[in-house]
Amino acid sequence: MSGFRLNSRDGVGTLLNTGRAVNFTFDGKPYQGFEGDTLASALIANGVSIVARSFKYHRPRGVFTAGSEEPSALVTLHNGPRTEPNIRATEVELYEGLVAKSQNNWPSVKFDLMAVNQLPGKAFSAGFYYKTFMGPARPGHKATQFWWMCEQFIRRAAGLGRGASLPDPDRYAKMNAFCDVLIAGGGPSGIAAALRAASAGAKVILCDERATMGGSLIGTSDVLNGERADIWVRERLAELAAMENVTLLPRTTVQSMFDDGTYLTVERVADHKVQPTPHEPRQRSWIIRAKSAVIATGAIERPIVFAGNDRPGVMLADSARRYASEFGVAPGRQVVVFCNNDSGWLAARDMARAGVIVTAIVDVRSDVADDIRAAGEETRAEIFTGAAVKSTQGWQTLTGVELCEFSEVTGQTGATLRKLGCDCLAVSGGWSPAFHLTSQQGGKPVWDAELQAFLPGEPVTTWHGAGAMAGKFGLRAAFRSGEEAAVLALADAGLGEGESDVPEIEGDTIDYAPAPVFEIRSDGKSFVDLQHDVTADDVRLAHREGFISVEHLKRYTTLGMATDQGKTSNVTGLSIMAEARGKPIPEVGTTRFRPPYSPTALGALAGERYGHLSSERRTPMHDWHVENGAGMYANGPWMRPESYNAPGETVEQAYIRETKAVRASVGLVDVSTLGKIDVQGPDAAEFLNRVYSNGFAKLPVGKARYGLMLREDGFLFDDGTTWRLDENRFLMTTTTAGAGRVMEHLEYHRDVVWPDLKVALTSVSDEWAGVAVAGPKSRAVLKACVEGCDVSNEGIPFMGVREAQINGIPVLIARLSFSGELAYEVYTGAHWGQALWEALMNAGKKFGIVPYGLEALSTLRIEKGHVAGPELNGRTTPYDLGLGGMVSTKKNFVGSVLLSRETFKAEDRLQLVAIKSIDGQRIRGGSHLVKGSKDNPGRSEGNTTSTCFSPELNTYMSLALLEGGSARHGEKMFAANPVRGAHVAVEVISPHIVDPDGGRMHG
Amino acid sequence: MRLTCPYCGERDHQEFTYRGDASATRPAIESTAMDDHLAYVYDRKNPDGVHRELWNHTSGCRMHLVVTRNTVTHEVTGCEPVGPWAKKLKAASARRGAKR
Amino acid sequence: MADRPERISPLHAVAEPGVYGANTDAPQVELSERLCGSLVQVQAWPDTAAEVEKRFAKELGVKPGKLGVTKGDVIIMPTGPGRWLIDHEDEGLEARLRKAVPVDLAAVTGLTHARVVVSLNGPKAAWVMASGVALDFDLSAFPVGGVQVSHHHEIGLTIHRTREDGFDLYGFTSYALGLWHWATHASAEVGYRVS
Repeated sequence: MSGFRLNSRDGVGTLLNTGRAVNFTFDGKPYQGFEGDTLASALIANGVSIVARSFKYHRPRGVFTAGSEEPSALVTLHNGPRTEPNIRATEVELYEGLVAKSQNNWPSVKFDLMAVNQLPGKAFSAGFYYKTFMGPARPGHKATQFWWMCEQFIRRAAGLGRGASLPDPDRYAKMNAFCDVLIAGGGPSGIAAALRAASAGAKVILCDERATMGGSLIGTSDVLNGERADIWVRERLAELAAMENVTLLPRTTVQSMFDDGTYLTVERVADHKVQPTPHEPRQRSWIIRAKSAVIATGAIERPIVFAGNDRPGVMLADSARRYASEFGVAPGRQVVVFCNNDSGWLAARDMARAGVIVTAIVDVRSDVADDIRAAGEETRAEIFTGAAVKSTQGWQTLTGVELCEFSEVTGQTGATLRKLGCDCLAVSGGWSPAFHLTSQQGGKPVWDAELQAFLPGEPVTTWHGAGAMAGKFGLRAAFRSGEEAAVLALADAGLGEGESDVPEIEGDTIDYAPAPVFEIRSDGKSFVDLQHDVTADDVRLAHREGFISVEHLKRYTTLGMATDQGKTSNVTGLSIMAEARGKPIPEVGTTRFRPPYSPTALGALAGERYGHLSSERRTPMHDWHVENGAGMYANGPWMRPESYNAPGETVEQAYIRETKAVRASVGLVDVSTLGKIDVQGPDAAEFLNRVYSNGFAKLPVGKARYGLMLREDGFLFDDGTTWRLDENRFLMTTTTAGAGRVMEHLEYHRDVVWPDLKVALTSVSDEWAGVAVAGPKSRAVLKACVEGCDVSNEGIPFMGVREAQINGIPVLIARLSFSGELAYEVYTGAHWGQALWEALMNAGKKFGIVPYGLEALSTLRIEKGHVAGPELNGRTTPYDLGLGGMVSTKKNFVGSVLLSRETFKAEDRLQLVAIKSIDGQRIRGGSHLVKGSKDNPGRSEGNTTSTCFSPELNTYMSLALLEGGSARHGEKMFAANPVRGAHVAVEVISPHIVDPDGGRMHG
Repeated sequence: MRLTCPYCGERDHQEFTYRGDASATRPAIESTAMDDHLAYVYDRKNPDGVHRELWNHTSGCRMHLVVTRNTVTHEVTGCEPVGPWAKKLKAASARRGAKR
Repeated sequence: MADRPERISPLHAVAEPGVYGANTDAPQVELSERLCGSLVQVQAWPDTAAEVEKRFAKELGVKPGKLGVTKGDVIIMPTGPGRWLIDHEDEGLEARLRKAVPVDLAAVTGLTHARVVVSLNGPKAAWVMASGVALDFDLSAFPVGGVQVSHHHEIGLTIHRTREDGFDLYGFTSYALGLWHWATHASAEVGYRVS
């Protein structure tokens, strides 16, 4: 193909601004186009005909379409971190400095060594992977030895472009929008719908994937209300843009239709520039909630399949026409049109009017209406009816076609008629309505035998089809159906009908129904799916091998599974399968389209949810931790200090030092992340008594109690302390991770199970900053700073809760111990958190107080045998963890009945123990407890849950769950972690190694 | 999916937390009947079609709602409050309905 | 007794006054942050809601309505059935309300430290809000004075529309920084002033 720029004249190149030249490069070579060009139109204008290599066979490919349905012309844009592969050149708006590269070729797009893939006839045919690599899997792996050998070569040979591995520098914004009527598609029917809906005062959003709205109106020769169509539509768009109730979103594809009128659309805000202006997002994804919608997404022209139909120079007829009329580009010097319907003839005529030389029109039909034939004769092309293109010629690009006789009745080819030289073959095989969005929602397409196309079928959700998408072809039908759909949508939104304003249309009336001809059979590769290199023979092969269901056909051949989801190939593929099965097309059925409509940048979907824009939660003391050397650790959304590392200190060294300091003197830790729930009401005590396994009704005011919460099935759910602040007011604490689910669990029981109880539940996690002060000197630290409260053993007894002040800050002090040492939790309002922390640090200075992090916190509680998240793993009961004493026998509570099941009393259940390393080797997290040697470990009898180095034991230890473990203290076993090659000799010991009688915390 | 909270109005489903079958009724707190508890915890119909289910409007008013939803089409045909405020809210919505 | 230290906002280090983003000649959004003197939630019981409203009128001189009601330095915002959030200059509000509305009438919960208020004002304030919160900010759906409880990045958020182009966001203290980062980042496209 050797395209060129046509001479500028009225109605040719309606999208171009020929006053502005634009420089760009393709594969490193500089070219020039005009403002308004797409990369595809500019490449064609520059005579570039090979722009890509195909997916499997590495065959040269050119531009096949002029829109988002493009299967072939995929390129890589940009360099460096903005590199973006697999972009359809037909959608790329040309801008100064654009850099594009061809892909999937080596060493170059013109000479690709991988093209040998197409030489051995049967290689890479349907099911190639399944057949070639089927067999016994390599031991320990999921694939055969042969696959493992070949994988790296295959992955390189078959594929698309490569993305960047650098962080994307661009912004991706989000927007939420609400409207009465969303209109997808800004062609004639969409614009008619928008005008009508807007006239009724509806809030309207009109989206179109192209930069210039208007769809087919941009390049037709039709006249509306006495004006050229592209001028008429520009004026209407200006009117719409001026209306306050209308939002126009060009460059915006409606990608997905979800339930209840929710749509995902992606606006390409800055893709038509080298890079976004500062602070401007590159793309913006709009989540639109619409009361109703008009789907006016048009139709996609489909090809006819014949041998060599993928050669650069073969393109769709309407696309060829659009290049001429919209971009002022001749798609070739000698154009042959091949079609089975009237629209091909008009494409030929419009191209000829724009100055393109059309040498022949070939139609499989014998009968063509007189006015259509007249339109063809206007081009002075040679006309062949009852004829077909049998094959194409050319080494890399198209140089000619072979024509033969064809019978529309039998579908058989006859004698060769002629060989014609040409460099562009414009093909029209009919039109497929683009009902992708409604199919995503489960709309069942219906076959229309007249149009030889699937139509979207009856809406099952709130939308109305208009224009070609709904099978209403032609300008008059588009306007009429657009307005009709708008009226229905307005009714959905509870609005009036608005005013009709259909323009007078002077133009062609044609019959869009094609002859039912999809393939011209002959020798040679005839492609159905150009992007995945699926041929007509592949479809027939799949049929012979028994893959006759349309779903199997799709998966076996990969037809329609490429990034274009088979926009140009689905119906053709189905027709070939239908013929092979001897059944009509509707009986073969269709597959469902999946969102998004066209490939979408992941950034646009993900939005900006990383780095400083992630949903991170911080405690009031966060900055202090960071300034004092803490490594911060993400605990769910919460950032918590892991350990405060002195210079040169490892995390392990730091947490051992911190742990020792707490046991020897005093330390403090930020516990602000604990979940905190305000439980209030006349029935608060009764409510707590029902949701905790132990009693709460009689807890005195000013006291805290450790409580166990069970699920209804008897397993442990969460634990924490609850403080009685007043007769009818409690402060419940939960685990950090459990805060949300405990709140929902409580709300469920309050709302659904016992709505008669007067209890209010409010999350106050963010209200309080909490600091635990632990160690034998903790009381001395409080004594040094607390005002308004006696902190002696009598003043604040074990589990006592008191109000006091520190440095003028009001605080709540509860004498609780997670570490097993004498300890207190001090709470204050979050905005005083840092002041409280600093006051306690100051007061503790003379006692050598150390801040400690999550690692030391964990080590202290492991040594004490206090359970936490890893032990409350959803499969343990209070009995398993040695907490049977906290299961009340005097009352019923959530989980009490099912906890009484026999199975929970079995002696061989996994029970809480501790294990210690006998020879000082590290016990790995996630180890299994086994009796045998490393080579023959035997079966797993349990597993470790929380592991640390214990300064108390001076060796590694772990809490573990072991079958019948409570009766096995003293037993020698191995903690095996085969993945890490660890097999550590351990002794099973009691989980209570620190201060088993509790003297320290009670002292 | 959009759900209409009787207090907050129509919102995206992301604001709600699914809480399962609304027909499961917990035995009274006094009950120790094992079979009743087993049925409450484990017996579920998993219908192919209309289902009444509990949702908590966790990112809104935090009320529980009974949503009537078709599990095949996701069509939502009802969204009613449960809990201490259910009666008042239902009465208020009935009054609004009568005015219309 | 020592002097009570100042309360520290989690945004103290980031909310630097100035003009930022694109369009610095005419920033379209103004951002600010504040801590409430008191922020108290009152949850009435179904049979006491009417009585609680009367007590509000007596104690605060304001009767709650369907929308948020602002009078002097009191803002009463409805956030659920029989539930209000009261923003007041008076630091002793929680104790006052606990006395005025005892627990047989309602649960009174102090949330003064649990929230930070981020205010967005200006011609593009609603536009910025829509970029992060899935609510309809059209005045017909969200009138001036309206209060909506929703979420941002799955973390709860109470929004009070103070003017046609102004919003007060009551965000969780632990997420205030994230909320601020979002608000500034989203406003950068149209330019913003921090005051």
